[in-house]
Amino acid sequence: MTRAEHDATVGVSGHRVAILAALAALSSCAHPEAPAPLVELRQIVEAPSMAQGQAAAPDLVAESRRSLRLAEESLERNDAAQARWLATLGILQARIAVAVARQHAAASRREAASIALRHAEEDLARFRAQQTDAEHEIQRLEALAGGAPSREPGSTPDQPRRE
Amino acid sequence: MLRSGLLAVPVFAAIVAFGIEARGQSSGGVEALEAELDGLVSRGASELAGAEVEQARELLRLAAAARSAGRSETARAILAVIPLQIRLIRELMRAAEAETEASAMEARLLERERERDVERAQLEALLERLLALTVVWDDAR
Repeated sequence: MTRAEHDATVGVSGHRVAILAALAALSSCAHPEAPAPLVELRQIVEAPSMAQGQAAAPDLVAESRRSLRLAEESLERNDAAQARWLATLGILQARIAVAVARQHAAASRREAASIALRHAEEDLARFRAQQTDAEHEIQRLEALAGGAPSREPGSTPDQPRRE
Repeated sequence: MLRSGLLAVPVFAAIVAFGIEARGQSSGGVEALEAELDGLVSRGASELAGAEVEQARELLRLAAAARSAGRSETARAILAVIPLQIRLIRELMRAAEAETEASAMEARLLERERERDVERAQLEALLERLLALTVVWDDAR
């Protein structure tokens, strides 16, 4: 078959098919499927826990974001293996940052509880002291009420203490 | 997840570029990291971060296998990331311990607050009684 015959046979539709196939191939090269660790890292980086990690361990969060960026670049170069590896590193860095944030949060909880405990113990000690005073006063008044008040003219009974 | 990625040799350069300490490059690296991991396990790592400990063990197995197969570059790449995995275990353990301490302090606070409330109620009862006695005493006078 000569070139002219071929062209006449295939016609315009044949060219379209070839162009579409080439475009599809280029498209798949430009956007390869992200490996699972990279998908996971993308989600982790966007998660609210990363904001806490940012405050607690900014260096680790920055490293994790850098790993994500490099993994995305590797994927664009069709190096899925390297993208997977870098994403795995990024996940580890992010998880360490979140763990450090958990430590900080726990330390804050402990500190807050410690301060509240000190106040509660101070209140407790004051209430106990006031109870002792009140009990003594009650005993004194009861003793006075039991032994008195004959109130002979001119007598002056002990006056109860007032708070 | 890790297995297929770990077999990619070029990633070692990327890891080193991160400045991650490439431990375990000597022939005894696997053993040293295993000992470190065992030390963490003896301190309760399996209870506090069981999945991460298993992942670390898997990485160590892969590194040993790669080394036995003569794939030293791959072995080094794997060993370079294990310290990060071990650090994760360590930080998870610290987080769990800190949370346990915080919970213990909160429980202690709760107990003290209950005790304080009981004492306050008793004090109020005593003060009411004292007030009543004072009124009686004043009336008697």
